Amino acid sequence: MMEWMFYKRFYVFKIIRRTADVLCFIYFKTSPTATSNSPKVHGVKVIGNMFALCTRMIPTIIHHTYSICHYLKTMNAVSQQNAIDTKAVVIMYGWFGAASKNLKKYAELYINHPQNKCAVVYGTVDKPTIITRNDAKLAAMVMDSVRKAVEIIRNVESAATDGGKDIPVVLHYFSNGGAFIVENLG
Amino acid sequence: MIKDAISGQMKDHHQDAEDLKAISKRLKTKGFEVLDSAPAYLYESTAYRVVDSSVPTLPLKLILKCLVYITILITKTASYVRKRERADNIFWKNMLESDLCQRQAFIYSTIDVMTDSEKLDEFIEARKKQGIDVTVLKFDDSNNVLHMKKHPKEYK
Repeated sequence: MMEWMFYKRFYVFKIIRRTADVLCFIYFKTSPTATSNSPKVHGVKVIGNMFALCTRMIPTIIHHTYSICHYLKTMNAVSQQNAIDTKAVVIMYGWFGAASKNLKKYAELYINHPQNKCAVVYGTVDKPTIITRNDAKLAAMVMDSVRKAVEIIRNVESAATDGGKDIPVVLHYFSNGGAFIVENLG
Repeated sequence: MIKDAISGQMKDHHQDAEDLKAISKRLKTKGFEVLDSAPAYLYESTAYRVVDSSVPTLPLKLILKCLVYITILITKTASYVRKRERADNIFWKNMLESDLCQRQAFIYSTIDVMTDSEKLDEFIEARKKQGIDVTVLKFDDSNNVLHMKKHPKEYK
């Protein structure tokens, strides 16, 4: 359900972009100022063209900024205050459109577990990456999580005094939004 | 300078490969996989069912269904022209044949409109036949990725 809500938002945004494109195309082709050369009409033409370009560019810029911001906000790592307490490292990939605050609730289950306290690396990719199944971005996400998990494992194992610490890794993922990422890990 | 940059990048790639190997090894030997509402078999009808259940107004419902139909048609035509198996089928096959981890826990529900529970039952049986240690937590009243909200005790 949640996934489809984000699909819907993505498609609505795409429709707005395409509508802006069509409106601009119509404007440039049918504007009465398009064939006139008088200075007054020329001024109107310049303003009209700028307005049309803004109509076309603004949704595109917002869309790309939105995607990039979402991508940069992805993987988070939460370790135990005392590294030696860490019993396992959990890598968690969220569902399509999952926000960090949603995943944090699941991460807290592992972090605050009474017997087996874990460190958690969690996050999700941006929506267009999942819709287009962009393998390069999905692989980058996998590597980001792996690097963070390995860093935690090194810290925990270097903090272990008995030298016998070999902590396991748990992979927790949600719906196909998470499964598409895990497909790249495999 | 270029030489330094290239050697630096090579080192990073090598480090990444080492890290990936370390995680894969741990997952395979001592690891555990938890699949919450996953994997979902990508039926064509699933998208229509999701539109039905999530869009209240009829005109919007029809527009979205048309969009879904066009998208499916384009992807089908593209895979036919390129003579390649559909990405959805490849995904399901990859998930079935994954040897990432020897222990898996599935959490899903029979009323989930995104994840078809019958197809997931088949998936679980196939995984058991492959010798995977499978644990199942199946509900009948919670929606996609909302199992913890509905059944916090069991989930924990």
